[in-house]
Amino acid sequence: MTHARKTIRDAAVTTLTGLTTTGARVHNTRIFPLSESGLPCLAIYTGDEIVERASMGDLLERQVELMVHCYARAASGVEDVLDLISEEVETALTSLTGAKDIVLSRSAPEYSDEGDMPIATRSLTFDVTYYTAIGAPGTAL
Amino acid sequence: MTVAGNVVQGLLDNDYAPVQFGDQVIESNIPILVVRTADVSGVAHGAAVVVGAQSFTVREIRNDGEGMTELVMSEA
Repeated sequence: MTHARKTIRDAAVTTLTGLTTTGARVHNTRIFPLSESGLPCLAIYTGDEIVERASMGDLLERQVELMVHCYARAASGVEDVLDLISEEVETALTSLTGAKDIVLSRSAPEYSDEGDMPIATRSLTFDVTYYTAIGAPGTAL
Repeated sequence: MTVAGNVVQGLLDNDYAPVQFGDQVIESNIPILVVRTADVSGVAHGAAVVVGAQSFTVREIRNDGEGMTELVMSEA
């Protein structure tokens, strides 16, 4: 059995695979460089997690950051492409298997002119709340 | 090759130029055309460059002050 956090991350990958703009170009915890020809794409990670004892029972309330990095490359209008991708991602990520709640908490852009075309990213951070029993992190309750 | 519609002689470099976003790298290249400054003295940002079948747009002009200029380009 693995951690419930992986279940949530995998569910996000499944949910976000097949969107109109990014299609199957969805990466789960991409560490290696991305290919320019593979854009536009999404890269999904889980980040910091806040864990507190729930008020009732032997439960842990967990809030993990689910980060969806959107990448696009275009001769012009690269920000428009990212806005389109953002709309598709935010629309799709309204619920996730294993999560009690998911809400967008941050959206941050970054731009680069270092390549042969403008390349940009928008990083969407979702706060995902889920519960596990103490000592049993593999099952989201 | 042409720069802003004028035929010029030059050297096209297209070196590897990784694009970095935080910890993530995107593989890319940066096309730079090296030409004589006298051949491109009137060229401005946004000028069209055609090299063979490839089309570019000038985004940066690096005049070395010694007779040569690098035109940093984006793919059009």
